[in-house]
Amino acid sequence: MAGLRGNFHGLGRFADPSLLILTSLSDGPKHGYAIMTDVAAFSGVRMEPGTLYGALSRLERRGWVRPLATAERRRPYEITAAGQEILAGQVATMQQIVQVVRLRTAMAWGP
Amino acid sequence: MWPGLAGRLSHVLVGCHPRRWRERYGEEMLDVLDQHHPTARTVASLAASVLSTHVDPACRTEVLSLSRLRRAARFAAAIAAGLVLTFGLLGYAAWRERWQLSGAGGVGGVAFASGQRLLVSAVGGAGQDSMDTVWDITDPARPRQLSAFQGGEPTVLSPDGRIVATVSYDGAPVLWNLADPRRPARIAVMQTGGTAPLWGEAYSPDGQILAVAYTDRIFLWDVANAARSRLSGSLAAPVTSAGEASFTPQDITFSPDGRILASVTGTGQVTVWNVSDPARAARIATLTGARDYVQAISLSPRGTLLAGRAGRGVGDGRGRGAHDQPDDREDDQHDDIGERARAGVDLMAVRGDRGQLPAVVEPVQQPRDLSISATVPLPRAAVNSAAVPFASTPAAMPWPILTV
Repeated sequence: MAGLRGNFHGLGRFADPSLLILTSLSDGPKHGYAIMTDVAAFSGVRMEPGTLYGALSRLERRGWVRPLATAERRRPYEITAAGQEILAGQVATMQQIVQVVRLRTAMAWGP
Repeated sequence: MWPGLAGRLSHVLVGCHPRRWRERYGEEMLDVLDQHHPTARTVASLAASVLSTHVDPACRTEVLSLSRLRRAARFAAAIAAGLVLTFGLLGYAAWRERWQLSGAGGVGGVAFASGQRLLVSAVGGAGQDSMDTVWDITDPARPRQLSAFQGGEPTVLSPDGRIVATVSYDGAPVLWNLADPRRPARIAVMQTGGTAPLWGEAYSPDGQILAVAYTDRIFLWDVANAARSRLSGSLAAPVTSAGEASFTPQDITFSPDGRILASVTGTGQVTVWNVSDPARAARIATLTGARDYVQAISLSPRGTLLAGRAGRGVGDGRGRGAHDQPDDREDDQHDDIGERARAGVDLMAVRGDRGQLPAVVEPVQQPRDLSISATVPLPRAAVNSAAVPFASTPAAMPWPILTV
């Protein structure tokens, strides 16, 4: 199993925004502002444009997201198969951590 | 940060990215900014993006040269200076707002003790919008701001100036430690479980008792150990109003020897108690001479005079036994008080609004036979809602120090 940030190694401060962007794109393509509002809705994280495009450019370079044709000034992005694989791996890692936390807290604090 | 300024800065910063980046993401970012509400965070985020893309080899198109490095360094320095200036100005504005002497809501209350170097004022509006500011008034001409805290309305400083009593936003009496006036710390909240509104507080001269006046009772708290204040007595002091639907008393005070407590208890009404033993405090008399509001009262240093200021114009404060002098004889009244001073009788001092307003003087040497003996004009510079100073002559009254 990769570490919590193993798959996102090298993304630096864009690791967490990248996970949120991949999660947002997992149910279909979205353009930049739609990603920001979606991320804010499901996570409460208010992502700013500088952070969003810093992360998007890195995801695009890694081949985890792909830009689609521009409609007016808006360019939608979609998650690639590689991106889906990375996201699934990351989610599995997080689920395992959650499971360990539940087990240990149940043992320490009771059910 | 102002939205307009943040929006313009954001658009400028998008154009500061490397050309390759701008060609690829510029239009998209501008479209996002058009839908977004730019803030200081947006500006900071884009500034960081500009810096990171300029050092990212994948975003650069030109060969790195010394001159380009210098330009980039100058650009980064300009951005950093702009951010420092912007946030510095915002911080200064916030600091000024926090420290201002009189905000949009005006001065909500002042606590001051004669002879002490501290004054506490509440400014900035009602409720939790107001801030209590601690001032060093060692040099009254140049008061220095020492600290600020949110403690409600300050009412009175302890005689040693180390504690200020406030009325919290939810109406409870609270003691704040000002031993280190730069770091006010809450000591105690004194709850009695009652629901009547709290309207005033007064320290006994020795600082051992704090009288907390509600519209139905006055509670006497033993605050010798402020952190472990305990209730040592209470007085029935129902506020009566003559035709006023919502009369609020204005003043409560101890005699200098701490044995007598006087409080406004109604429209034109002052009640005097013997509080020598707080546990057995008892009413001495109720004065009903003044026909109008009695806004401020005070007992002279020897406790032989009770002075009160009535609300509306010369003559309104007279009652039983008052000299029936016409309004144009204010100077004669003043001279009368001057003669008392020369005869060794302490003068009362009265707090009130600016202007010539009458005071009501009551001899309380024989407290069961009280009567109003004279009215006097107030100094023009008298100030509303501040502690009452005493002086042996009218000229020695320290009014200027209270002109806050």
